[in-house]
Amino acid sequence: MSMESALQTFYAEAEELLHNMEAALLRLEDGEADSETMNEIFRAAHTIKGSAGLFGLHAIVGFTHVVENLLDRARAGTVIIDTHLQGVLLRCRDHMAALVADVANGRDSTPDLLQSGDLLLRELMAYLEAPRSDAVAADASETEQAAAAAAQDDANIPPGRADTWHLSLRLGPDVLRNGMDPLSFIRFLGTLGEITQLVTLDDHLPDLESYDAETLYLAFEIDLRTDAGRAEIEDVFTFVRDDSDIRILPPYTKVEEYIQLIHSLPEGNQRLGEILIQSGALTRDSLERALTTQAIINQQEQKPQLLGEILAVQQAIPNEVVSAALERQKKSPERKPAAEARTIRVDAEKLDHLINLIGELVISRQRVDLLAAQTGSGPLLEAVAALGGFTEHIRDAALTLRMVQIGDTFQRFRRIVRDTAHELGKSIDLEISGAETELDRSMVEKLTDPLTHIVRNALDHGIESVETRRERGKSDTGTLRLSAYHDAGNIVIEISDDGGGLNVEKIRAKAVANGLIDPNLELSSYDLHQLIFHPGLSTAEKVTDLSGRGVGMDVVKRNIEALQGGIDIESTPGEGTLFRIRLPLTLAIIDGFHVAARNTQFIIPQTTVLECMDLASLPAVKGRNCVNLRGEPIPFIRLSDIFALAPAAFAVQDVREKLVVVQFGNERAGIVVEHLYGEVQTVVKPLSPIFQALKGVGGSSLLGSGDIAFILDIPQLIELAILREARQAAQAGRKQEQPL
Amino acid sequence: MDVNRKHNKTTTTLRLSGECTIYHAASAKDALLGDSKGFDKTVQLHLEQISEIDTAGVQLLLMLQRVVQHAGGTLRLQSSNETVDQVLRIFNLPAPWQTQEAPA
Repeated sequence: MSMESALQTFYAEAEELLHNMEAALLRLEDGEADSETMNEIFRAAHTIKGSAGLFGLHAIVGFTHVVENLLDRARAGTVIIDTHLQGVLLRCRDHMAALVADVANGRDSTPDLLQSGDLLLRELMAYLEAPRSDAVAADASETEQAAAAAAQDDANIPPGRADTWHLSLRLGPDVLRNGMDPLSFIRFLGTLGEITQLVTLDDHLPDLESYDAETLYLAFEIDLRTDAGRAEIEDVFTFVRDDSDIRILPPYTKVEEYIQLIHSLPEGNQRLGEILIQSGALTRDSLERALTTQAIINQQEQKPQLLGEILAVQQAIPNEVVSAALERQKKSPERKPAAEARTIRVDAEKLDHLINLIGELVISRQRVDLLAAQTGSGPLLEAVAALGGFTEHIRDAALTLRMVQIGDTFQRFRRIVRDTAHELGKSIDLEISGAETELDRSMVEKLTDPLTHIVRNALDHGIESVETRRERGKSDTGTLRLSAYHDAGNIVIEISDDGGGLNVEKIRAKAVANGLIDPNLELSSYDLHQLIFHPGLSTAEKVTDLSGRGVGMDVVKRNIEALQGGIDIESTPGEGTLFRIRLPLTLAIIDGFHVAARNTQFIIPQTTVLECMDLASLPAVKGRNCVNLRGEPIPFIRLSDIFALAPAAFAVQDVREKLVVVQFGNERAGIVVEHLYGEVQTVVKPLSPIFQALKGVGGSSLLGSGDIAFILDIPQLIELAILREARQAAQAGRKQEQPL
Repeated sequence: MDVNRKHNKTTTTLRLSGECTIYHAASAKDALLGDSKGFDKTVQLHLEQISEIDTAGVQLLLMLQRVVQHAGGTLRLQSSNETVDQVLRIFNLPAPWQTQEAPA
């Protein structure tokens, strides 16, 4: 691993850890102060400090060190985390995130940031220096306290090696070359506890001829006395673990395991045996006995002279203590290695590249399909069909690689809800459901802003103040719900609150005042709700009069539509409001329905297609672009009309027009085309920015035949169909009133 | 890293100066070990002008010790400074690397 990629890993890990830390701090605030939560917070700070230390990022180390100290005290129960401290710790987390971000972006932290860091440290110091509670010996030093705590845990464990770990480090030969220095690791281990013994082994130094100055030959045997757990010690070596042989033996390791260690290391039994005896991990007796019984070596006789003055024979640890300690070890969770085995970190760019390649594969496959069909060769067609099946599987599998659970995005709102609620003096609970629902990573990023906007609005204007809630007979605490689920090829995200609901009268009044609607027009509450997405409404002067809901909602809608999605509102006065966002699962490759009008090829996203029929066979509503489909009026548009397509050069006379009924959300409309070609896998190529203002087209795609097809933007087309139909209906109405 | 060599009948004096780190390890190796003349005598090593040393540097010193031993000479650490001492203490190396102060 090179320095640069190790740093990248550090940034990614730090981000993840800070995220976990935030979540844990919020859990703490919710009263879930179990030891696992405390440990998680501590671990995050600790690991970030450690990794930052390895890279010499002093600003991060300096700040995080104090945070870690405080958390350590809190873990030991000598500092109580009160509400105020919770807030301070959250801000500390933010500060750490800012520091990491500055390093990641290669810029110097601003004096302002550093100053606010100093202020935070001062607040932390106040807690660190505060007189401790009487329950704990008032002036005992930290180590003594820890020792006392340990002694309380199991009173029968003798002093000595009770908290001493043994580490055998055989770091990879390229460690130095990659910019890591074992010296840093050792120094850092020193911050975890006390290095009681360190032996540098130079046994592997080669002859001068084969000596390479940039290769690491030295090995280390270390005894570390610490309260830290295995994960914390392992974390020190995160960045070199892959190429290295690192063995960590916990306190109370059985003699046999030490013997095993001796055998498995390359330096020779004698040498390591001496080191372990010297460190007190083994007694001469136990080592000898073990070695004799195993009949591994027969040179035990030489030993005594070599040892000299360093020999400090310790009593063998009683068996029952060993087993009790082992018991404890078993219970202590070692989650890290397991988690690592299950997931690997992959560069997002590599995934995108893979998806692009698979897109090309899908197109090539369609071309092969066409060519194979022309040959009419049975076996070839069969083979091509099998190839097609696999291509589809690969496409699906590749797309799921890019899928991420929405839970992480939802969790981010815990902080926003907390901070906003504090600010507004409201009490608000956040409920999350469907966190495991997956959607495309690229969409998650684009979804954050609109979601944040809706959530803030709901907190600010949706949920009432405590007084109002009491008057209305509601509980003091308002609830904001975030939920997600899959529905017919779409992902649906709902943001709902139990607040006052939209004030339709005010919306209506405002819309009338701004000339958006006719004062006499009767509008359903659904239509009135939709008005808040109208730019003309939300940019009005006194938006706060409209329970503030109009602010920027047009932007939210535009963002969602840019993702080929749509947004709905359900609102009941006095009971609350629900925003429902509907999005396609992915934007990269879709199942499309291939149609054509006037020799121009179009793709309709398959998930929106309800049915197809002959237009002429349906009872038309006279003079209007509307058909009666089993009693339901369906407005339609002709693609040839709205895209002003030129008639084909040699017009085929009796082309029967076909109606494709599409649906998005609650709206339906018909799209009139001339040819239906059927289902096709479509690789979506976004339109170049010049064409993005173009209504009705969301992208383009290359067909197997080599033709270009336009991918229709169904939500926009449905809206257009409804709008045109409404205008026609209005015109028809006026004509009726004034004949001639 | 620069190496200043002086030879007389019984001793060879090596004065090292500058950075003794991975960044200069290859050239330092050539400078220090490239010429083994006088390594069969008492080799007096002066490290007080070393400005920085890391694991690669320590490894190079251990290599020197070995080469000198092979040549039949003896290596003596003649002078050092706090920077070097600190690192040598961490690695807890045996004679002749032991420095005056006991490990902290």
